[in-house]
Amino acid sequence: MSYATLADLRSNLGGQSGLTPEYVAKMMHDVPRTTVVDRTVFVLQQVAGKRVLEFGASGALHDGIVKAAATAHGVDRESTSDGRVEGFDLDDPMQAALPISDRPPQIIVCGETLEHLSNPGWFLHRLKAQFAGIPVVLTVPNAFGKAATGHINAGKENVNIDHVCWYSYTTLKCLLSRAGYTITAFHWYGGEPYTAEGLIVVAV
Amino acid sequence: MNIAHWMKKEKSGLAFTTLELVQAEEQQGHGVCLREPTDAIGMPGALLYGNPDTPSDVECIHTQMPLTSYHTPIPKFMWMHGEPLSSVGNGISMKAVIDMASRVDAFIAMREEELPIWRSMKRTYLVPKGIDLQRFRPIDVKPYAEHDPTTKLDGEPAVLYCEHWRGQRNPLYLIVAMQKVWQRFPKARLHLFNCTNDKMYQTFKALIAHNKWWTFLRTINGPVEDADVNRLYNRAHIVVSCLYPLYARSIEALGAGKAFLGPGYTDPAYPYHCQLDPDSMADAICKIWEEYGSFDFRQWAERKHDVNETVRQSVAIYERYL
Repeated sequence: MSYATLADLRSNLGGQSGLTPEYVAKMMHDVPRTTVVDRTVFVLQQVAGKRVLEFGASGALHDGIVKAAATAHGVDRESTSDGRVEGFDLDDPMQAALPISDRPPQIIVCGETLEHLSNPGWFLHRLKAQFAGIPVVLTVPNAFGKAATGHINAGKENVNIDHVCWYSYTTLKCLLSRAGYTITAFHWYGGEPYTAEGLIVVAV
Repeated sequence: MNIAHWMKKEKSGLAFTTLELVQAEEQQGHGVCLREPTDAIGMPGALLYGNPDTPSDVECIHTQMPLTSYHTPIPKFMWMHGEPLSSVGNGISMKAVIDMASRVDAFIAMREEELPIWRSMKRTYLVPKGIDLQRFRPIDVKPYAEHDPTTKLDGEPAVLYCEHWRGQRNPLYLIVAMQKVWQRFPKARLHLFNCTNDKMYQTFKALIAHNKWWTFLRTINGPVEDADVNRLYNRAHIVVSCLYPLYARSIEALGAGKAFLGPGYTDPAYPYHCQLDPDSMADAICKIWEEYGSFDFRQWAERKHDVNETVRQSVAIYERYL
């Protein structure tokens, strides 16, 4: 834009440079200021004493959820012999309905799960349809994390071979909103704001 | 003469200097047009100020120029705002300068110390580094009153640092120097402004607490509004830069009639010099304070740093190419 006086221009230096208002509106997005939390501690605080449905139920976080929750029904690619984790392929197009526990869950956890799915939008639509109103805790690796971007100048990608995408706050929010979810809490985990290892959101 | 300027719209000393040049050119009767160099695909960027319809006689490049200017016969001049070593160090600026060097008619530098470097790449003219002496001028400021940010800064002397804090550009050496100044002048106080980086802020807060620098360091603040910058200079006795080997916007303090000290400011006719060394800076601050009132800093600014003279000399250079 053209300024009427040089004083006006001087006062407005530092705004977006070289970008049209249309470009800024479409492409430039503020990331909310928020704190960095411990991923495990945050998730366990959310599930403590509740009936939990957990997707991607494996590893240390799953073990913690089993201990902290009132009941925990897990879903993963492979079932476990103790019956706590049900085997289910979230990407299987023939499986219209998601697994469901005996009693409706009070909270759902998807820890580092979305980035593995071929069709995360379809998963979230089914989740919203079957468990409307139940809060979902999601954690995903940060597309702009130092770990994610730190090796690319040397011609190497630092990414799990099973992942199919990266999420930022904006892309995660967009995906969730398309499935009817609204983010009610947002934090970083591992590192510092904006360049942390990952994002944690609670969506309803 | 119709003069076009290509300048990226960003809050920087480069932009402030360019706006001062444009203003002075307009006041001297020249037509001006100030544009961002490129849009997303390299074509001329947004018009920032002036008349875009009158054909330009010369083009001045302050950061980049658009692809459409590459093959026109209009004389082009690249203003060398950046310091050569930093231009290499940031990994971008020197490459951009070299990419542009064959496309422009000459470089225009504002610091004599840099001439050998720029001249190794292109014909380079030297003009004085001017500031807007109508904007940066002495004004009356009420005596110091606690909690009143419109009054003089606390201290005798009140020393001010307000350069942009970035990487090695920070007031560490000045603070150490002020320890020595404070031992000699117990009423001496230091005020730090323009800290915009949270990590830098936390680092210096920790340093101040650990070293008990709060005995003389009374302010660590963010930037003041653009309209209040001249008042800020007028609130201090001495304004110190820690930049080396260049000096930057803090010479505006001279326009406000205040003492300026910077290791990169080496004009032999100026009475106060220091090296980028705490002891040297402390000695120079003490010398300025002991002699305060004996040297007319405003008069020095009028002699050496009038942007109107910068424009007169640069226009004379442009005319050689018309």
